Amino acid sequence: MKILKKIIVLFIIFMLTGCFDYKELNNLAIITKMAIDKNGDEFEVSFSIENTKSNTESNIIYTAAGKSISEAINNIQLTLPKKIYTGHLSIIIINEELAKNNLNQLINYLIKSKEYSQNFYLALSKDKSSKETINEISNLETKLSKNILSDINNEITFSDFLKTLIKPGIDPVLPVITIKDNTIDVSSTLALFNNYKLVAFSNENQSKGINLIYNKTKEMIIPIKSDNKNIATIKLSNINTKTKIKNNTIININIKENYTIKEINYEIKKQTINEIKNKTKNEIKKLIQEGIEISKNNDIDIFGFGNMIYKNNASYFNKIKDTWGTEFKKINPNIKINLITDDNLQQTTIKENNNS
Amino acid sequence: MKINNQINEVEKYIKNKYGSSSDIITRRIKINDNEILYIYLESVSSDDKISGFLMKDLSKYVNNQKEIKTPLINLLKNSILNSHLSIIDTYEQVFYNLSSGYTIIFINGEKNAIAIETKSILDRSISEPSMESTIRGPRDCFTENNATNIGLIRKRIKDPNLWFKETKIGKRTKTKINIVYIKNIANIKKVKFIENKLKKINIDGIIDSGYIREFLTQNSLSAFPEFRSTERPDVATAELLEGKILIMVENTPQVLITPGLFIDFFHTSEDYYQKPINITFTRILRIIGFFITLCTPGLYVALTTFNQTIIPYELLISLSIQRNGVPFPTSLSIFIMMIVFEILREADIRLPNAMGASISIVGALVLGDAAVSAGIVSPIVIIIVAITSIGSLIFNDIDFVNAIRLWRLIFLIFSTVLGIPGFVIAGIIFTINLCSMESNGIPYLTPISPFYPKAQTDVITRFSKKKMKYRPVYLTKNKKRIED
Repeated sequence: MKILKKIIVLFIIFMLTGCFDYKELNNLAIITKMAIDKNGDEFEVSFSIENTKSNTESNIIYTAAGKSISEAINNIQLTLPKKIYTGHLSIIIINEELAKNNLNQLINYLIKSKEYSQNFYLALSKDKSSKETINEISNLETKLSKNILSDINNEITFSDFLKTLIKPGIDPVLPVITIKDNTIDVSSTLALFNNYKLVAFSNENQSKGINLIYNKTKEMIIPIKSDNKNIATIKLSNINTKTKIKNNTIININIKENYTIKEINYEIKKQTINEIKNKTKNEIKKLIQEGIEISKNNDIDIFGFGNMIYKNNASYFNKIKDTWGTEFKKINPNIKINLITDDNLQQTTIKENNNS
Repeated sequence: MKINNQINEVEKYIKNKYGSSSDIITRRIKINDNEILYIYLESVSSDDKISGFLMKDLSKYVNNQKEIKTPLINLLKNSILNSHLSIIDTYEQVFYNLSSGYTIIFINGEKNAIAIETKSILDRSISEPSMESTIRGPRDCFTENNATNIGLIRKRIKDPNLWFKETKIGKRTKTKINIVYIKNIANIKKVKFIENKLKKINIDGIIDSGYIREFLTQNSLSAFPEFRSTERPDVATAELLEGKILIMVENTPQVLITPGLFIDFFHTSEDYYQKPINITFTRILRIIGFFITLCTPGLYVALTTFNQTIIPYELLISLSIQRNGVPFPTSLSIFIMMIVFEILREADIRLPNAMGASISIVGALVLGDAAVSAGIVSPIVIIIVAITSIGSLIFNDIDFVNAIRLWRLIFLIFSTVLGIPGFVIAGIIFTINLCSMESNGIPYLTPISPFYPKAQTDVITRFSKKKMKYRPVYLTKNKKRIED
């Protein structure tokens, strides 16, 4: 009898919970991409929802506007037959206006909603509204996958973004998606933030430099001009950047990379190799300096040099914390580049000579 | 009750007791001035033996006119050439011996009677094991005959220390129960403990070793079996050498092994006949299979109805497409398919062999294709139920399989109500249940918990026999298996 009573009590406890969080898969609208636009006072939220009605892989875009983000999402829910499910959200794209205005509201919303996984990527859409951007991406993407994101060189997840916001002495960066003539460009521009506000866009060379310092570039192709006609194309691989700090203010950037001469349209000699090598070094140096330049011009520290100083000597950093914007401009990192030749370089060059 | 010394009375009494059953045969023979009576039960006795021994030996005296000086009982006792001869003096012994196929000789005026063995063979011969089939290894199998079963072990261990302790249990069936152990390996305390427990059993009949197991079980609420049962003499022998104790029950081809620990159900006899490295892999497979068969339905329900975030994106889309148009909740459709499978399995066991093929066709069609096309379940549910049921077929102990079935259901219910947290709660209860169990005084999860480092040579991994120098410490004090 005692056991029977226990079983009855357990049974009642179970039944009273009533499957609080129960949802069947076919009742979920699985959202893969989300776009948030700010137009004046209104937020416009668009969802790209995976079509699960048939086996053909396609996305459907739903859009609604509202005074706040939650209101806009709620308005979408009203038009949807299924429940919005954001657990597999892969990317949120925001437009320029929202970024320039203030990201505070969006981030607040995302942190407080437990249905987001914080592992999605954040990106900015330039020129076009983010709604158009996800529409374009959905049309271009034919497979059931997130392959657009694998193209983003400098992919930044929401949690990464949050970390850079919170840490002292570092300012966040977001990748920018631009669409021109049915091609998606995700790596040539970066959006630089000062706290919650967008301050500038970097151009292609600056982005390359920034990504080099971030140690996010693993491979790179650089054309080297020796004079007007002659061009050698250098492929850099296994790029490894190490940023170190010495004596509170001296920052060393060491880059180690393998290089191969991919293509060349003139005869190659021993001294030309050395020449190419030096020019490559200079080219990389130039890229990096351009990257640092744009950061300095906007009074922000996207590389986290301040954070490195903070980690190295917190009390020293606290002293200069308030004037870090100007202090940062004084820092000129030493750049060391170590090019390693592939062993079969000689052979490949000879081969290429014979072919040409 | 003592035997009457008047054979007329005896005959009347016995016939009366047996209700003049059709198989009772009595005959009187005069020897000199005295008269003897012999009784046997035709159904359990062999006519050949009775004619061969009894009649041949008795006929010497029937026509003999010489005076006999020694008492007739001694004369018969010494002259009948039967190795199973005993003097009995109570009616209880008479009835037991009669029913066992003995012939009883009563002599007029004598209080004792002579019982001689004239059994007929009512057992099938030794055949191949049907439940525990292996690729390598011996192919004999215990039968219903007690003596044969003892013989199958005795011929494998030619050591006088192999002891069989016999008791008879059952007021009516008087079933022979043998406790088998090797005297200087097994723990004698455990043997005594079992003996005492057996003595306390006061039941009218023991039909199968399952009866004995129920009386000896300590954790009657747990689904997992505390006794391993085997029909293979080689398994029984190996376990005896480890220091375990066997319980053999007459008329049962399944021998009980105690203690039956959790990990024992993952071992088969073949494990010791194949290469150790491969066996380690096989055992890991069995453990994976165990968890698959236990957890899959619960985990699937928890993931797809509560914690979808864990499912990879592509799979989620594919599952979502599959579930389109299925009316029932995921857990219900899994439950339906599990029930259907269990019904099929039950039907397959009970069905005559000739009809087995038809069941499998119906089962495959109904379970597989039709249920999906009819829109009752989604294809993935079929996969889940199929992998679950195939996983349970790894184990040949039916009690163990049924215990897994029960726990699978508990996992499913908890997951249905609470998702992953419910699954974890069920897991905790499951672990507590296993940890709190004991088999004949040894914790059920030994040697994993409590952990015995030296016994790990033969738990999940199996080392080569050269390295398995010691017997498990928790079973025996006589540790050395291989002498240096």
